Amino acid sequence: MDKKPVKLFDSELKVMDILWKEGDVPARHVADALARETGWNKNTTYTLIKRCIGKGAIERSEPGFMCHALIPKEDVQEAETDELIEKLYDGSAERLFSALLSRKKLSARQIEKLEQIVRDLEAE
Amino acid sequence: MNLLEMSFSGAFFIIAVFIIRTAAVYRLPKMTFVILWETVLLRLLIPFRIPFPFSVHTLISLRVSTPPSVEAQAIPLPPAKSQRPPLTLQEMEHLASEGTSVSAWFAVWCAGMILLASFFALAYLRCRMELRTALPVNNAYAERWLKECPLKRRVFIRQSDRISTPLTYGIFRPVILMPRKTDWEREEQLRYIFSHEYAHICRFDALTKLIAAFALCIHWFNPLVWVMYRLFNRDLELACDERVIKQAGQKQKSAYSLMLIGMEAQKSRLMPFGSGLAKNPVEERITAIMKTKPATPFTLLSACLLVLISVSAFATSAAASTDDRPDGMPAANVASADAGNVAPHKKNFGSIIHESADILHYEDGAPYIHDILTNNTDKTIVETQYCMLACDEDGAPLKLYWNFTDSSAESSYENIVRSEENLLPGQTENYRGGWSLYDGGIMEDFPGAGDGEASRAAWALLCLKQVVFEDGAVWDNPDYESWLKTHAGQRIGVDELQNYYPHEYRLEPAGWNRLIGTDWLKPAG
Repeated sequence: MDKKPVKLFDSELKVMDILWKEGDVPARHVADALARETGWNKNTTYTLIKRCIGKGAIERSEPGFMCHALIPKEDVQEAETDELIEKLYDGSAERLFSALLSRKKLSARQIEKLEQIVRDLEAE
Repeated sequence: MNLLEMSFSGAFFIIAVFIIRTAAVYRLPKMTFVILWETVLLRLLIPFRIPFPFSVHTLISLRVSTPPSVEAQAIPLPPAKSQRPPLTLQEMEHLASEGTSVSAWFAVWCAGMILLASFFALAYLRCRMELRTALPVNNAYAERWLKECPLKRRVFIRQSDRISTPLTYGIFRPVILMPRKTDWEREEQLRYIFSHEYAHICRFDALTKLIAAFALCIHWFNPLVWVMYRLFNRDLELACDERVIKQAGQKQKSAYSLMLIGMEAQKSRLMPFGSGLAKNPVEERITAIMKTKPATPFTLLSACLLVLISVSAFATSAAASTDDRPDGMPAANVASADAGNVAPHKKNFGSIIHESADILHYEDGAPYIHDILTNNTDKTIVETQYCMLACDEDGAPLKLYWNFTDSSAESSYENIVRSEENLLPGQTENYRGGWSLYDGGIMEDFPGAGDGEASRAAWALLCLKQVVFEDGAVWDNPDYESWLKTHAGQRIGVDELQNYYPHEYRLEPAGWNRLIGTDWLKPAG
């Protein structure tokens, strides 16, 4: 198997937690447990299980969609925030151009400039 | 009014709001701009009619959305006009062109709209999928805040590692979503964030944004609507910031600004388009917060006045154009008139409208066409000549025996009739008999010319060819030939059939072939 650490998001870790705690269980059981804990509906959990399968963190077997954790807790790395959601809320129209424009974090200098504005206007 | 006219008048409104905003964004209450943008949205969306067919004709003519008269159904027979034999059966040379009535422009517009709408829908659905995986929050302050939340809708606070700054989603079950890196110990900061998001929830900003996106999809070809979309989204934020400051107090402005800057540092963002609009949005936002002042009677009054003036100047002029047809020139026409030096006294020419043409039935089941005309000129009409076509309910053209009384057994798609009834200025005929359609099966009084397709007639399409006024002035419809070419013998889309009436004829100078009443061409003032 690939040695690269698997990167998982918080929500996927929630799914893995169940498997690490309870061993191999059917997907249905995971969904029920997470519905109690997080309020997710079944489909949300199933989607997350499928993603974990895609990332190689879970193996499924029939019958009953049994889920088996392929990796131990120690091998997991936190995935980095992807800003899909923000891109939408930040003005979807702008996202249309996101292929053409670079997406950058504000530079230290820009931050300094903003703070300067606050100081200047505060003095007024 | 059609889409282009709405887009044009919307564009003028947007330019006005843009100017006001540029001049006074830091001086007026931010709600002023939100209200102005919302009015722009109404302007862009109401009255909303899909321009179909998107032809030059609909580009320059103002369509009025009066529903076809219901009275027509209730009027009993007998028809007055059928007593008089129709004038002539004109055999028009046959239309070879298979040209579709849906023009390329309409197709382009549709394609653009569908593309943009599906982009929004996909982005939205994908986000909703992601947002569903957010995790609950266990925090004492958040729970306390939620308990004190006076809103009828139940608000949820959740957290996610997929975002780096807080956001709110959901209209009926609003959720405030916090980034995982939130420092839950700093209650002051939480209070600012919650109260900003709470302002969004109270004002149903999620819904407003959806409506703005909808308007953008429809008016995607109008660059000013893109400007509106961006600035409107920004102003919604500014309005919420203003509310936070109002609640927290003027002294908190710096603390709030610095918190926002801190969060901006986390977040990567799109660099604005080139020189872009106005200034950098973050800079504008920080400056706006720092310059927030408590509203004084003076700022409130000027805000109210500004809203009133701009709304009455830009929103109602468009409304008037749907009501007073002769006066209300659509913005599109205003623009072309200014550019092309066309006589400014257009209203003298006015318009004539075919309000409706329904296929009704005599008691014995024989069909006839019942049409209603309005004279919006200031002359009395003494004679009209117009062409009629009939098609079945799917829009397939019908070849009818229009002229059964002279026993000419000729059938044709089109039939030209002449009516010599007087129609006073401003008058709508409330009753105009009908034009009988020959149905060999039912009308036994007349020599059977074979079984026409009259019983299948479901739609009647009428188009004026010529109008004679009492002073002898004659107007020939310049669009008549092209109308005939695109409609006679052609299958016509049901959408077009449904939206055909009221069918307006603008009496542009081009149509005047034999002007006897010269005062028509004199400038009004």
